Amino acid sequence: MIKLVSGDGAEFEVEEEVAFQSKIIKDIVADADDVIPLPTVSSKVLIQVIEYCRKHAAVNSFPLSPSSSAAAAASSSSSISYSKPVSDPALRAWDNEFVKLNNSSLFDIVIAANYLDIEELVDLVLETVADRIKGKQAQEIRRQFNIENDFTPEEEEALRRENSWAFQNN
Amino acid sequence: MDDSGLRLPARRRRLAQQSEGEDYLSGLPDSLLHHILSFLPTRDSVRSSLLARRWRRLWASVPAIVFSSVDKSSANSVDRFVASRSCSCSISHLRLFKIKLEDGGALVRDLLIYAKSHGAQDVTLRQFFFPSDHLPLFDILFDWPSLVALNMQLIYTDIWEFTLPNRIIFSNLKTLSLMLGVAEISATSLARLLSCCPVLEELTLKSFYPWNCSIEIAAPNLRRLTLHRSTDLRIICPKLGFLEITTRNRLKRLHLEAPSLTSIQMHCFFGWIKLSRRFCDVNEEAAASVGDIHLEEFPLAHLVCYELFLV
Repeated sequence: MIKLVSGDGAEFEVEEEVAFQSKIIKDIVADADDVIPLPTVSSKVLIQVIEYCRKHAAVNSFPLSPSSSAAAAASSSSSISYSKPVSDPALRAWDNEFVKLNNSSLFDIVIAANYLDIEELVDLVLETVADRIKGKQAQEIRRQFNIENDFTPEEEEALRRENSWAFQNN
Repeated sequence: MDDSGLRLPARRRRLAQQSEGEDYLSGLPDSLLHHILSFLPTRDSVRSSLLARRWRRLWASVPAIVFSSVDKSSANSVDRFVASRSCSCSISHLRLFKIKLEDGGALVRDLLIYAKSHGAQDVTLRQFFFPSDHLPLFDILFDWPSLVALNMQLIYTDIWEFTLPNRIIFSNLKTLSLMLGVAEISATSLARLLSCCPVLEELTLKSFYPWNCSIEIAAPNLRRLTLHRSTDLRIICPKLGFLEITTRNRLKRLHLEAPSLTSIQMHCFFGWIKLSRRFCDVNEEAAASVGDIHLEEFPLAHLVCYELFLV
């Protein structure tokens, strides 16, 4: 068992195969002890991340899905990985439920997952964010994510002209 | 590690403390924003330049090219996109959909060459209208040492036999999905293709085969195999764990040497009762577990080799 300690001091005992969904924890455990303080991850986020890891550890250990190991091997050779979608339909359905969260919760999770190096979770969350951007107008995206438009109207117009092909046929 | 545990960089820590109403998204590091944009069609990715200054040039180094249709009318967009991209940035994946070659052939060729020269590892060409006068495209596509995954679906072609280029270099290809539409592939072509993919782990093949032709899949590293339309099969794959066969016709013969197999799924419109009976004939011990069409989790590990004949 490995003990993870959140920023607010809560302790979570998890099985090795669950914690090892995080590559960084795997590396740490290899040469240190098995109590791992994660001072910047709140217990709320850590609970969600552990829930995800527990589910995926259970499925990945089952030999029915060799494609996930193939995807990991394929992606490890690139600097940014683009894992293939999870091939197990039941797991995919579970993932889809897991990311039904508001934007701020998603970003909390992706920041933690990115730091803990849990590739599949990073992919899952960022793809969800991409789906919330896809096909929308700039104004709508700005509103949805509280992005402040710091362009002058002239600059904005110049940008539209510069890449006019992408803004046609709306 | 030191006893302070895992530290997040200051910027991300601030971000984590922001409240609702803040711009979390723009606060993510460039690498994550590139990652998000890589999931979008290229058009949407370029349009993100308008959001704010932070976003202005992010799209230019996104390691992905995704066009939802490629024909004459998109030539201008594709050219301008490629020209204004940061050319030193590598490409991870190229995905093209609804490709009409009769007027977009040069475009696809240029994109393939561009993606290859930028180290692309993952190429998807779907809904590909492919007239035979564009065969030279396969010379570019099939000589691609950095490629890890190729997914190609022809939906129209006047090619009856899918002939492979003379030179095939897929030294890193791990995932191959070929949907050849109405074209058929000969047993020798298939064998040559497989011999050029030494590290292949996952294969999906939907093709026709010459009449009465026995198809052999022999791949030392293959772990996952999905086949459509085959009727006479020899599978020799020591590492194969998952096998799925879908056939509209009766499966006439299946010779299987796959000692690592943990799951078989077979979908067939005819002849299932007979197949089950034949399983019984082959190995009575194993047959106890076979009762249904769905053979998932069938304990085959102890069957090093067996052969099925159906009449």
